[in-house]
Formats: sequence, C-alpha cells, structure tokens
Amino acid sequence: MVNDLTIPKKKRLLIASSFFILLFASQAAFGQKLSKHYVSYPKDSTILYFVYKFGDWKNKASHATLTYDLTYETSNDSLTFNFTYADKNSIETDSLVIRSNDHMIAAKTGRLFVDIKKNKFQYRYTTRFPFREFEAFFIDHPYPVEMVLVTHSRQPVIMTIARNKWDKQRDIIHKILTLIEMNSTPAS
Amino acid sequence: MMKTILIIVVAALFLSSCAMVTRSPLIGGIYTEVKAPLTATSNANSSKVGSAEATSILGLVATGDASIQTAAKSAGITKIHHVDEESMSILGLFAKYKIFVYGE
Repeated sequence: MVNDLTIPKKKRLLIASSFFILLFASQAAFGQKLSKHYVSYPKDSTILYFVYKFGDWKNKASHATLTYDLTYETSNDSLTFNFTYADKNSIETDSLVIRSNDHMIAAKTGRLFVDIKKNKFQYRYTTRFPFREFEAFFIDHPYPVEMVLVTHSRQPVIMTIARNKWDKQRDIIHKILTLIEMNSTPAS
Repeated sequence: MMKTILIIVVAALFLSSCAMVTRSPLIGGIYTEVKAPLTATSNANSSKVGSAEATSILGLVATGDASIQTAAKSAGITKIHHVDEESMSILGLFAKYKIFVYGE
C-alpha cells in the first residue's frame, strides 16, 4: 500500500499564507524595537545619543513638510533639534516654536544649508531646546501639538501632525528620552 | 517540463534581484539589521551626529544618498571623528543602508 504524501492544494495555500502572516507579524514585532530609532555613542564620561529622523509634519495650505532628528549629549542640559523644512516657496526662518494647549517653547534657528529636491526648497536648520522643556511635550501630552516656523517675510508657517501619527511618534520619543534620562543619572 | 523551466526562470529572476545591502559584515537571508564601524579619523571630539540613507525595493529600484558628505552636511559637521554604518533588509524585498557621521 502506498501512502499519498502530496499535500492538497487548499492546505498548501493555507500553509503558505500562514508563513507570510507569521513573517509579517514578526516584522511588526521588529517594528516595535526601540533600538531601531536611535544610536548611542559613549565618549569619556558622557553618552552621545542620536534619534533618527521623524516626519509626518505638514502644512495643509502650502503642502510644506517637516522632518526632524535629535542629538543629545548627557553632559548638556539642552538637545540639538535639527530639522528639514521642504517648501515650494522661498522662506527665511527666524525661529521655531513648539506649542500645545498649555505648553510652549521657542528657539532661534540657524540655517545649515538649502537644497532643491523635486521642485521644493529643502531648508536644513538647527536649533537647541532645553531637554526637560522639550521632553514635556512627549509625556502624556494632549493633542494637538504644533510646530510654528516664524519667518522674516511671511506669515508664521504652522506645521501639524495627524493624531494617530503623533501618538506613535510621542510614544517612541518619550521612551527614548526616558531611557536617556535614566542613563544620565548615576546609579545609586 | 515547460512548467518546471518557467518556475526556474522566475525563481532565478527573483533571486538574482534581491534587495540586499552588500556592504554589511553579516547578511541574514530573512532579516538583517546590523550596525558596524566604517571608518575613524584622528580628530578628537564628536558632539554632533549626522545621518544619510539609501533604500532598495525588490532589488530593482535603489535610490538615496548615503554619502559621508551628505550625512556630515545634515548636522553641520566640518571635522569628522568617526563613521558608522547600519544595514537593514527584509526578505530581499526591502533594504536600507544608513551611515552615521560623528564629529564637530
């Protein structure tokens, strides 16, 4: 008697789809990994942190976009907030304001360079915010949070982010800032 | 017979055009996420970090600018201390290569 070892077509399909579901589920799990959002570099008695860029900030009227990354050295009380602002119009930014219903921080911006990509000016600016003041936006803060570019020539440009994207961004950055804080404090 | 040949041709086509980061010191067939050093200089300090990246989709389209110059420029770095790289790929379908420039 010979056993029929061939797998029925339906079962094969089920196995294949289960494999892909598992694969994508594992990728989603990888997506939760905090370490994929930052790098750290120990130097002397401090640690230098770099948080990868975050985007999704937009101005609905002008279709301008904003992405930012963070650099923080544990010996400092302020962090570097570098951002790229992409806009079809030319603009000269003076300062950046981050505000919510009950909290606001502002700082002068320094221009690093300007490029043109896909018919948009790509402005790269740097600014610094006090670590604690900046962190306050990411500790269970009510939505909405806005970034406002204060310019010389035009009305202020208000950049907003969708609620679900803000929640995700806030959660990741909050965890990283908490981790940084814990590593900055000497163990008792 | 024709079906087998067709499968081999399609498989060869797909396998030969995987989205992989060939610079990575280690490559995983299913998933790769590796950070590694790229270069170091004799400059003393590093208080700034800049990054740049390039991506590949299906091994068919690869775009981006993962040059040291772009990464340094993005953070206003004029003196480079060291450079690290990070490679990530998923199933040869999607790959990303990033570099991090440390300096002042």
